[in-house]
Amino acid sequence: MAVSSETNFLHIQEEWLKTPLIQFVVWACLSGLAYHFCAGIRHMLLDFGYFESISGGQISAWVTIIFSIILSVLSGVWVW
Amino acid sequence: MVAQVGSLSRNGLLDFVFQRLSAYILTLYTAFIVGFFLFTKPDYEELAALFAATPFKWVTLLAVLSVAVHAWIGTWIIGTDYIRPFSFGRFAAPLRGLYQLGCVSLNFVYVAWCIHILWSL
Repeated sequence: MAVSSETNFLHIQEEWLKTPLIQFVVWACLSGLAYHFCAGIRHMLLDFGYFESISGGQISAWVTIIFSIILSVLSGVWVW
Repeated sequence: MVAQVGSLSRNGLLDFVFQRLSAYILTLYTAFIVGFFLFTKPDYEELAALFAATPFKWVTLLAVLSVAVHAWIGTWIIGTDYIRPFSFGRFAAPLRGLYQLGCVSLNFVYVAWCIHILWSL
């Protein structure tokens, strides 16, 4: 973001973003965001009354986790 | 039962609504940003062009404020859930106050920094 301020900075960042530590941190944040995002969608569905039974709750919970893992793997591919 | 002092609005129902509202805004914004970075791998010119557009700045400001609201309420929820007399004894309430103060400070820094970035371009 502060990247957009100077052409030089962007090209430095192109290096900096290649370091494994930074890549790991970015991936971890994206993974957390992915899970939070999926769980939030689940909350929105629950607000509107879907999946409110016991089995419905468990099914939606598993779908959330699986979807987050998929998004997490995709984030890893994208970061790397 | 906690006294309603650290929450964003002292009304539970209003917090519930704000949480949902900010969540909807952020869902749309996240989809937009992820889509943008996924489908146009921007080089510097494209990124600068995106940030220069005034509509983008306004929408991002909305998203940043939504994060602040969403995070304030969320961290309040976590604080009142876990920093309780049961675990911390007599010092739970002041400790939670300190925790909430820290969270709000981080929130403010985030909002201020984002506004600075958006409008110094």
